[in-house]
Amino acid sequence: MSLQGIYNIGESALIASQAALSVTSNNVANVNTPGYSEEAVTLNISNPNQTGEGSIGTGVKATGVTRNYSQFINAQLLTQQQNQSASSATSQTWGQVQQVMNEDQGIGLSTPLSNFFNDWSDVATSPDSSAARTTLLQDAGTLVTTAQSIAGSLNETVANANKSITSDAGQINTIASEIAVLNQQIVQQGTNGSQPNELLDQRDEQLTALAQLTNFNTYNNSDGSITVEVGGQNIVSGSLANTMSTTSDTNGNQAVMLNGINITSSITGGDIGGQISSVNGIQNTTLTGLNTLITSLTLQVNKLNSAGFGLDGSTGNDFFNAPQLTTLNNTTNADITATVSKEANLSATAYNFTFSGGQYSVFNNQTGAQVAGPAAYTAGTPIDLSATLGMTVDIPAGAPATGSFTISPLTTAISNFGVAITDPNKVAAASTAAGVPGDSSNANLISQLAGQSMNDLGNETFSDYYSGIVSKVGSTAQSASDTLTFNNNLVSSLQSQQQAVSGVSLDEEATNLMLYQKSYDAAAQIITVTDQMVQTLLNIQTA
Amino acid sequence: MRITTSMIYDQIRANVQGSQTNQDKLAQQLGTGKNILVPSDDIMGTVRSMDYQVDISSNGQYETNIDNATNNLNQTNTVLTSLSDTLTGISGVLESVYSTGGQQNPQGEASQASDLRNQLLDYANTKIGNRYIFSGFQTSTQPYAAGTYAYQGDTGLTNIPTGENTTMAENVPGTNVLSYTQTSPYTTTLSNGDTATYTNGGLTASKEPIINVSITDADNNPVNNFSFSNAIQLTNMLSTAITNNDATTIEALQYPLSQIQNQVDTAQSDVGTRLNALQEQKTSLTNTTTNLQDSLGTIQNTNTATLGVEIQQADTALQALYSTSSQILPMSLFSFLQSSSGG
Repeated sequence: MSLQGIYNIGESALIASQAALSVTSNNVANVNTPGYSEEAVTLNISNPNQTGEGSIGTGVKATGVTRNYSQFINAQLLTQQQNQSASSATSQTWGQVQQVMNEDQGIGLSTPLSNFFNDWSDVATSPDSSAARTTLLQDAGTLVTTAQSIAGSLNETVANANKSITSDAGQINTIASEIAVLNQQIVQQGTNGSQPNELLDQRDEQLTALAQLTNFNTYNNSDGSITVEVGGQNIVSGSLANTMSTTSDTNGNQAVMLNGINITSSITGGDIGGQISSVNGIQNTTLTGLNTLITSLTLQVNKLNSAGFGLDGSTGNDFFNAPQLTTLNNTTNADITATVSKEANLSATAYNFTFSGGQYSVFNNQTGAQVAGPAAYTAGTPIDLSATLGMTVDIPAGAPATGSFTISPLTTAISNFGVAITDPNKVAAASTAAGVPGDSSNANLISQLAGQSMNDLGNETFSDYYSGIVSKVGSTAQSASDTLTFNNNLVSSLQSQQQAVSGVSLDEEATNLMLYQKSYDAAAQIITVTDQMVQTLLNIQTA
Repeated sequence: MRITTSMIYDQIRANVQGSQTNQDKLAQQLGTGKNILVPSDDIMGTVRSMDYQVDISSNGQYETNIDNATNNLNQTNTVLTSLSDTLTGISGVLESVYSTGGQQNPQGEASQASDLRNQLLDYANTKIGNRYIFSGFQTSTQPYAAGTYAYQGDTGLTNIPTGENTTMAENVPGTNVLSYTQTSPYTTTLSNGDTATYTNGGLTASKEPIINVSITDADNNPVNNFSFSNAIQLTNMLSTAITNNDATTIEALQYPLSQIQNQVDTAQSDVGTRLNALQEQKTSLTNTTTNLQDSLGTIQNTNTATLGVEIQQADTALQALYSTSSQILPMSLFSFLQSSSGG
């Protein structure tokens, strides 16, 4: 063992302490950096020298810098963040929806609906009073405006959710490109032989950002890159990123496309997942419910008003605008038309109309029961279903031999909702022409509609059916908010676990700083002592 | 568990936010005075309070309807009293003419009868607002025409809703007041030995029952035939008979006059019964509404005392959080080392 060897040991200790101090300083510097994982220097014993006195160590070597990281916790955290983000979007959207029908604060359809029927009761009390009739028409107008404003707000919420879906897809593409670039850099640095800690942290941070937007799966590749899959389709594969796009579906909603495939139904997590589920919920439950309610109300009131007689002796007047039918194509490109031919036989229900082999059939969409057909038809000759369903369906000549359509009076119920009568004298309070002006029995019948169970509303009254819609909105908002609280707690607990592994503790770093400072001092001391030993030797020679 | 620096900050931030959210909700409840701010706060409560509000609103409407009907019936009742008094007056004239066995002052009695006829016509054509109260559904048509005194209304009853499935007529058609139906023939012997026979003459175009009167002498030879369909026409005939000194006719009018008087009495008692029923219905509605409002209040309104305590608790919790945070946050080995080396 030479004195030079002791110099070298001292030097290795200086270098190792310096490296450790650098890593510690870097940890302190990144204490608040999102996604940063605490790093530690790996120290190893240098190969010892075999001497006559035995095996003598040659100092210390800093062989690498590792990050403290748990893949298991991080994977769990990503999944929970996807759920959290989805429930945050749903909770926010349903929170808005329940403000639109916040009956607890007197906002919604309940009061206008009560007023409408109370006004009919007023007309029944004073059938010849033009004041009662005018008030009825005004309050009917308020009912229409309120229903339309509720539907307008809901449609706006849906439109905003659709905008979010498009903008989320854009952000997902940006993140996917970042991940692809990072993949490339990680593979590159890996081939250079050093551990790409910072790049890995950055990629994890991008995955966390992606988890805010959508659900996805990741697969580790042997070269250090990862594959990211959304809805069963690769969005990132190595250094390649695919582009997610959105397109309008038949309902005007945004469908999410990846690699030419519609993956909308597979997206359940992240902001997009939350927005998609909110759009479906609002349209299928809330808006459809309101449309059904308004259609049923329109049909019932029109049926009675048109059977009665106005002050001017007129009869056959619709009180509200007559419902219109819409046809939605489910399969073919043929375009059938459906028109209301006998309003009194129409009900507030959507139908599935199918035809093939020269025969047509009609099913109730809600119950699935067959309500017409199978019966033969001739393309170009309207099928008259007035007596049963109140409509006429026309399959044009030259249409394909098979088709499936949804025919519904509900779709445009609220947009088409309006008071058809402008002249108060046409409010039909009397049941007979002879009874005008003092007969109020028809007005009585209409005011009694308020307490009657309606077939097309599942045997509920108008107000009970509406309460059902509000309670569904309330319970969806409540469950979204509960799920959000649950997910928030879970994410925060997982974040704690993740921070317990990967987070920087300033107290720990302070200790390390002192530890490595002391070892640096000691290493310097080794060199000083060795230098003195060399001086001692030199003094012997000169003496 | 290894505790790292950001965990402490995150935890404190989450706790403060949670506490403040709780306080905010309590403050909103206090501010609005309502327990349920949005449906999701209490779904069953929301649904129940919507039900109660619908019921309270429709009960309120029924009460308004009942008030209207009560007002109409009360006024009708007043007019019926006047009609009854007038008929008593007419009966008095008839009695006095009849009891004297002829006229002491035929001109005076006749004009008295025609005055009373006009009075009857006035009462029978009473209006409340723009509505004639005795013309059935034909509220804009004067029920009794001047000159012919024929009924021009109909027998319609305007039924008003007084409950979810109950209605009550708020008018009395003239046919139920000033007319009566001679269901079976009635014969009486007059003081001069003549026989008066009253038979049902069917209905007028306005559904007013016609009374045919035929007077025959002891040998069954016709003396006089006439018909009328209401008290006004009857009074008009009386006035003419007095002028003509037609004692037989005057006496023959006594029976139908008493029948019409009975009819007015019946109408008045019918109105009285309806008024009582309306009053009872209104009392019941008012009680129901009071109960519903109590229940609604229990669901909707905040209990200020409880809320006050909860706000105090939330405030104490937040203060405690601030206090512990202010002690935990400055704790760091770095600051300790600095202060110890500096000291």
